[in-house]
Amino acid sequence: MSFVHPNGTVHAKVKDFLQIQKEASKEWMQLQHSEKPRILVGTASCGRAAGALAVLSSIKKELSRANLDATVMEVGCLGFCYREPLLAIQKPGRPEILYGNLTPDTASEVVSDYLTKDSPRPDLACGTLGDHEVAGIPNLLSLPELQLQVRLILRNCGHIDPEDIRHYMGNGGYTGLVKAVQMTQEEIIEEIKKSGLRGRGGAGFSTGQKWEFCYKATSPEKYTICNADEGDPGAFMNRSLLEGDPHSVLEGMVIAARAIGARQGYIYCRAEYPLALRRLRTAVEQMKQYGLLGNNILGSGSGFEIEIKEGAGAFVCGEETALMASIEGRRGMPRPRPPFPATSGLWGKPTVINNVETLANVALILQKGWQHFAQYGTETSKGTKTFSLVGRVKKTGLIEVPFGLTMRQIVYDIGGGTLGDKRFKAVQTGGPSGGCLPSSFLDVPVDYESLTAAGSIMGSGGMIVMNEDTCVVDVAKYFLDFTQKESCGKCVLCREGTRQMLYILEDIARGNGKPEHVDLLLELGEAIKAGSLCGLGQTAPNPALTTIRYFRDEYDAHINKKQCPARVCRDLIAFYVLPEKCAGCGICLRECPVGAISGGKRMIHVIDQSKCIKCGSCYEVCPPRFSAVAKVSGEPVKTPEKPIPVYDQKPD
Amino acid sequence: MTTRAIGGGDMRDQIHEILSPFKTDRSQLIPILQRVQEKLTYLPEEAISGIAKYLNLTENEVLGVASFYAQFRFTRPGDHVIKVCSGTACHVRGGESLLQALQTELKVNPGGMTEDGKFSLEQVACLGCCALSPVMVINDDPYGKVSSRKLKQILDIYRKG
Amino acid sequence: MERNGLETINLTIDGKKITAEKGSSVLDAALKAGMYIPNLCHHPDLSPFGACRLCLVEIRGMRGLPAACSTPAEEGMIVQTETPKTKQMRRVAVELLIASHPGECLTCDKNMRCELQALVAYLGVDKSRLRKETRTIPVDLTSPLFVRDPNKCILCGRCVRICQDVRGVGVLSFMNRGKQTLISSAFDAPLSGSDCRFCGSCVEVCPTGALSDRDHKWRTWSEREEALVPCKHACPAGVDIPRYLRYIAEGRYPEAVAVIREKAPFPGVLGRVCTHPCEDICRREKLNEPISIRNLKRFAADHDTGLWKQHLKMLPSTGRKVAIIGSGPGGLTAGYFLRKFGHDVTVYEANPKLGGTMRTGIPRFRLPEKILDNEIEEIRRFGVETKTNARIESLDDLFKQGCDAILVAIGAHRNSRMGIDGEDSAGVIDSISFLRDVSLGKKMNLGRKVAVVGGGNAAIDAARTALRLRSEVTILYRRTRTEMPASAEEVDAAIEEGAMTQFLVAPKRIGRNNGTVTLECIRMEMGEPDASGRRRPVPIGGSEFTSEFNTVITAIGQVPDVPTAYGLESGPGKTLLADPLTAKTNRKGVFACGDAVSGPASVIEAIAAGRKAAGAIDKYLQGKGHLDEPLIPPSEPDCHFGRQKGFAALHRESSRMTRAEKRTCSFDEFDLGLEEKAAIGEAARCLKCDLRLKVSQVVPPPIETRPRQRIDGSPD
Repeated sequence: MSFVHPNGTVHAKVKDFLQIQKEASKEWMQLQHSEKPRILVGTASCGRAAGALAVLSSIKKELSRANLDATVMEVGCLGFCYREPLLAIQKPGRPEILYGNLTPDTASEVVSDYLTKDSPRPDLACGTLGDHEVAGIPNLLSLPELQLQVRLILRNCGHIDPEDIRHYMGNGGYTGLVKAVQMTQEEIIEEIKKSGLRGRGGAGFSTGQKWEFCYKATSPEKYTICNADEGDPGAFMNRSLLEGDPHSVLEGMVIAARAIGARQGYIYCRAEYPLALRRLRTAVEQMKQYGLLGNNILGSGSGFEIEIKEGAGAFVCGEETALMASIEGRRGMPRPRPPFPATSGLWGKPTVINNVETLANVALILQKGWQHFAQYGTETSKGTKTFSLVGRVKKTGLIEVPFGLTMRQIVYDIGGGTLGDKRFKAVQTGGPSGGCLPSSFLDVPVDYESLTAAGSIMGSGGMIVMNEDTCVVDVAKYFLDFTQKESCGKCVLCREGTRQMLYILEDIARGNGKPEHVDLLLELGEAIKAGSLCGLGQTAPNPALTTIRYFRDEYDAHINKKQCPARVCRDLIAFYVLPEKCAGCGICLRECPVGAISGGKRMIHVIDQSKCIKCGSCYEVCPPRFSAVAKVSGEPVKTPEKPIPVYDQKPD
Repeated sequence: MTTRAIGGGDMRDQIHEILSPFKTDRSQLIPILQRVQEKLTYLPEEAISGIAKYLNLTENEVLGVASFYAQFRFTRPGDHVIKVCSGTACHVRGGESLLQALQTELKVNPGGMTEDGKFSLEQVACLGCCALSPVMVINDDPYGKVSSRKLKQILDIYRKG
Repeated sequence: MERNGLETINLTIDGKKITAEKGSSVLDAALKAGMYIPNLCHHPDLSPFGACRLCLVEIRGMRGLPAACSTPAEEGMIVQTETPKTKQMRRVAVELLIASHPGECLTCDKNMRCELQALVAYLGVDKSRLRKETRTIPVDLTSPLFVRDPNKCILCGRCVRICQDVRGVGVLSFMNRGKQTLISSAFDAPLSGSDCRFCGSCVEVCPTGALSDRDHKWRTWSEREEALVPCKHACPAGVDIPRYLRYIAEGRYPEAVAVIREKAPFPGVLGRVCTHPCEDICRREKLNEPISIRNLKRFAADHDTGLWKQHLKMLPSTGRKVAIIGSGPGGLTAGYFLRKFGHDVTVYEANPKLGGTMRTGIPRFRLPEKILDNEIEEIRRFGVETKTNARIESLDDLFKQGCDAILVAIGAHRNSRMGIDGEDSAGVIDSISFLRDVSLGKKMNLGRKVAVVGGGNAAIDAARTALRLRSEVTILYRRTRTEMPASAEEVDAAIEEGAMTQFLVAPKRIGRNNGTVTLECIRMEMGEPDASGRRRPVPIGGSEFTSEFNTVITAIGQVPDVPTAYGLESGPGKTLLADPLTAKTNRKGVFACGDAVSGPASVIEAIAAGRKAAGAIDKYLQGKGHLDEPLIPPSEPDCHFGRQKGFAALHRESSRMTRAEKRTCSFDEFDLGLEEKAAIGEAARCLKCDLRLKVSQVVPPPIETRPRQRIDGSPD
C-alpha cells in the first residue's frame, strides 16, 4: 500500500486538514492577543501535590468576586517544580508573568493586585516570558536555570491546554504527520536515521535502525507500542510530557506506525499516572474526531488505531519483552532474545517499541526537519534530552538540555547548586539501572557514551543529586531493595543474586560488614550483570558497583570503622544533646515519639541511647540558635548521665 | 476525598456485570482485573473464578497473572488506602522517616491494615512527583513535602470524614 | 548440506567442528554432538526458557553471553563454552541456587538422582559463600501418588511447561514474583482438587526433589517401568493396557482389540472372567477407584470388527507337526501361536466340546457359549486342527504318528477329596463333574436343598449354578469370608442371588438318612498362622452339628489328572514338573503348560503360559520363537490430552446388570456390560501412566567430575 498519492497531488483530506490547522493557528494567535486576560495554572500531578487545585479554586473565586472576566487555563508542567504551585498571568498587551510558591491566599492576592490594581507583585514573581520587560521582574530566559535549556520537547508544556487539540494544532502540531503521509515509508525512516535520534528510554539504540528492521520484516500485522511505563523512581519526564502535551507523543506514534506499516498501536502507561491516562484518553478521542486515527488517515489509505493499556505495578514491564507479555495478558516475565521484537514481538508479530520522549522527538523531526533536531547535541548523541533534576539540589525540576552540557552546568548553573551549599558528592543517573558519578565527572559532557563509560547509563533521564548528607551505601542498598522487589523472579541470577547483594549491603549498613564483603559484592555484581536474562538484572548491580568503584572509602569506613561518614545509616549513628549548647527549652523532649529524652526547664536534656529510634526529630526541631542536638557516627559524645542544670557559662 | 466501594448485593452478579462490556480475549485480562478491583476494592476468590470462566482460562492462570502485579490485592483494604512513595527522590528527602512516622502513628506495617479497618498502608513505587518529596497519596489525593507534624493533620481529615 | 533429508550446518564449539541440523539451538547441537554444556531448565521435550543461566556461552560476534538453549546455531558460528567469564558466572549461579536450597540430600527422595546434585558435583562447587535462606512452605503430603515440596523447587519451570504446553492440562502456574515466586495450583489446592490428571509428567521432568513419587522404591529401569505402569506388568500376558484403553477412549474399539490380541487371544472370554490382577494394582485406585479394565476389554471385544486380522502374519509352513493335548485356554493359545509359526497343529480334547475349563468349569451365565464358540472358531480358522472326544492315553503313539513335539495342557480336572467318611455316598458330587455335566447339557436333579463345600471360584460357580437349577444353596467354608480365595465380586453376586453362607464350618462326616444326605460339621476358630502365613482354622471341640441336604457338592480343590503312561515327572502338589522358561518336561519333545503345571489358576495365566510354551516349542523346532508382532501399525499417542474438570473425582462406571431376583431364572448372561458412553468415560479415567515413560531423558553431565576448583579458580 503506497502512502504517496499516485499522481503527486495533495489529497483532499490533507487540504481539509491544513485548512483546519490554519484556523487553529489563527485562534491561537487570537488567544495570545486576546482582549481578556489569561491565567494559566499548572495543574500537573506535581502541581496538584503542591496544592495547585486549591490555588485554582481560590483564583476562580477571586475572579467572580471581583467580577473579572478572564480566561483560566489548566496547563502542564513548566519545569520549575521547586516553585510549585505556579501560575502565569497575561494581561492584554503585557508579557506573560510567572508566579510561584503560591498559596490560595497569595494567589488570589496576585490576581486582584495585578488585574485590578495593575500591580504585578514582583515579590511573588519568578519571571516574564516574551520580549517585553516588566519593572522589577527578570526575564525568565535570562535566569540561569533557563539559559542553558533548550526546551524543544517541552515547548508546549505549561503554555497550551493539553486537553485541547486545537491548541496543539495552532502551534504547528500535526504538521509532521501531514508531511509524513506525503512521504514513502523509506523516506520517513531515512529522515529519522539522518537525525541520529536514539531511543530515549535508556538503551539509546538508533530509532531509525529499529524502525528499519521492523519495516523490512514481512507480515500483514505489525504493531507499534509507546512505552509510558516510566518506572524509574525519581523520573517524571514522561509523565509531564503526557500530562502537558499528549498530542506531541501521539503524533509521533502515528508517524511511527506509518513508517513500519502498523495498523494497531498500544500505549502502555503505568497506572500510577491517572492524570496522564485521562489526558491520553481525551487526546485519542479528539484525534478520532479530526480523522487522525481510524481508517484512511488524511487520505493515506491506511488506518491506525490506538488502545491504551494501564500498567499494573511492575517495574520490569518497562522491559520490552515483559511489556509485550503484559499487553498479551500474561505475567511480565521477559523472554530470551533472539528473536528480537522488531521481527517477532507482540503475538509473534514484528513490533516496534518506542519511549514517550522518542516519539515526541519523532513528531518534532518531521515537523521541523532533521537538521533542526541534529543541530543540538554531540557527535554521537544528537538532539536534546529531558531530565528530572531532583534530590539535594536547590532548584529541582524538569529540565531539557542539549547533549553535551556538562554535569557541572546542569547541577550548578541550572540547578543552582546543592541544597544548603553542602559539599557535592554524586549524581545518580539512570535510576536503579544506573550509577553514582562522583565529582570527578562534573566536567564530563553528558551523552550516552560518556555515561556508559563511567559505569552508569543514561536511562530515562533521572538525575538525582547527592551531597555530603547522602550515604552511598544507603543509596546502593535502596536501589537494590527496589530492584529486588521488582525482579520478576525468572532467572536465578537476578532473583537470588540481588537478594544476596542486598543482604551484604544491609550487613554493611548495620555495622556487621566484613572485609571480604566488598570483593564478594563485586564478584556477584559482575556475574549478575553478565548473565541476567533481561535489562533489569543486567543493570541492577550498577548502583552498588559504581559506588564501590568511586566511593570505596565510604564502604571501608562502614566496614572497618563501623562509621557512616554521611551520618545516615541508622545503626551507625547516634543523636546526643550537646551539654554546652542545650538551653533546656524542652522542645526536643516534646517531639520525641518514644520518650527517650529526659530533662526539665533549664536542665540539660539527655537522650537515652537505648530507647532512641534514630528518627531525627529532635535534630530537626532544636531551634537553630541553640543547635544543641548533634548527629554523629563513630565516636560517642560525652554527655551527663542524667539531666543536670544548664551551664550558665561554658565549662573549662 | 474518596471512600471505598461498598460490596453489596450478590457478588457473582456484580462480577458478571463488571465483565460484560469486555471482549473475551486474553489481552483483556489485566484491564478486567483492574476494573474488578476498582469496583470491589480487591479480588476475592469468586472474582478469580468468574474471570477465569469468562475468558476461558484456568483459575491458576488468572491467579498467576494477578499475583505478579503489585497493584492487585487479594484481601479487603481499609476505608482509606495510604500509599507512601518509595522513589529515590522521596528516599533521599525523608521518605523513610515518613513511612516510619505513619507506622508509629497508625500502628501498622506496610501491607497491613489498622485494627479499626480505617487505614491500610502500602509502600509503592515512584509516583512521579519527585520534586515534592516526600510524597504520599491517600485514596487519590496526593500530599507533598509531608512532615511528621503535617501528617497528623492530614490523617485527622480522613479520621473524621 | 543435507542429511537424512534435513538441512545441516557446521559450527565450531570449543575448537571442535560439529555438524548440526539447521534450526536447532546451540545447546541441542552441542548435546547431540556429545558435548556437554551445563543446563537445568532445559529439557528436550520443552521449549527453551532461559531461567537457569547456566548454559551461557561466548559466541564470536555476539555481544554479552548469549544463552545456548535459546540461540539458534548458525553456519560458521564459533562458540566458547568455558571462558573465565562463563565459568565465574556459572559458579555464582550455582552458589546462589545452593544458598536457597535446603540441601538435605541424605533424606531427600531424589538423592543420587537429583540433577542439581549432579551439576554441583560436575562443576566442583562444594559450598556457597552466601547466606543460606530457605523457605518454610508446608510440604504437600496429602495428594495421592506424588509429593510436592516447594522448598526444594528451583523454579526451572519444567513442570509448568510440560503440564501446560505438552499435556494441555495447565494445573500448575508461576505465582507472585521476585523472591516470593513459587509454583502452585490455584489457591494452593491439593492436586486432586485442582483438575490434575496425575499423569506424573511433572514428576518425571522435575530436576530436584520438589516433585517426587510417593513410595518410590525402584532402582533399575525395569523396576521403574514396573512400578510406574503396574497394570501391564501385573498382567501375566503383558497386555499393553494403557494403549488399548486409549483406543477405547477414542472410540476405536477394533484397534483396542488388536492391541489385546497382540498378547492374548480370547478377549471376549477374558473380558468376562479374567481375575484382573491389573485392576488390583491400578494406580487410579490411589485416587478413588481403579479402572474397570476387564469390563472395558469386554466392551471392546463385543464391538470388534476383525480389524486385527488385516496385519496378521503367518510364517511359511515348516512341515513340523505339534500335538497339543487339551483344548483349554493354554492349549488353544499355544496352538494359535504355533500355527502362526507355520507348524501343523492338532489339538486333542477328551470332552465332546472344545474349551477346557472355559467350557466345563465356567458357567454359561458368566461366559455365554456363543462368545466362547466364536473365539475358538477364530483359532480353528487359522488351520488349527481339533479333535474332540479324543482322550490321549499315551504320548508314544503320538510320536509314532509323526509328531515332532507334544504339549501337555490338560488342566487340573481331578477333584481333591475331603478325606472324610461317607465322602463317596450318593448325593455327594464334586464340583468339577457337576459343572461339566451342566455345561454339556445334562439334566440335573439336585433336589431342594444343596450344600456347597469350599471357598474358591469353583465353589461359587457351583453354588450359583445350583441356584439357577432352583435349589436353595448354602455355602460352607472353614475359614472366614475375607479369607475366601474366590473373588469378592463373585461371592457378593452369589449372596445377592440368594446363596446362604456358613463360615468357620468344616465337614466331619457324611451319612444318609431317608433319601437325604446328612452332613455333620464342626465349628472352627482361627488359630495360629501356618507355613504359608495364613491363619489355620482349628476345630472347636464339642461344637458338632448336623444338617440335612438333598445334594452336597464338594469344591475344595483340583489337581491334574495325568495318566501315568505319559511317563512325566510330578511337581509339587501333584502337578506336572516343567521348566518355567522353556516349558520342557523330563521327556524330550514333551512340553507342559497351564493348570497342569501350576495347579488351578486363572484363564489369563493359562493363556500366558500357552503363549510362552509356543515360543519355546518353536525354538525347539529350530524356529526363532519371536512371539511379538504388531497387529495394528504403531502410532504415537496423543500426549496433549487437555484438562478435564473434576478428573480426580470421576467415579468408576459399572455394568448394567440384570436384577438379582431375575438372574436365577435362567442361565443367560446377567452382566450386560457397559454402555458406550460409560465405556468411553471409564477409559478416559485412566491416568495414562505409560506416557510418563515416553518423556525424554535429560543428558546428564559426564560422569567423571572435574577436579575441584577453589573460589579463585586455582585447582584444589
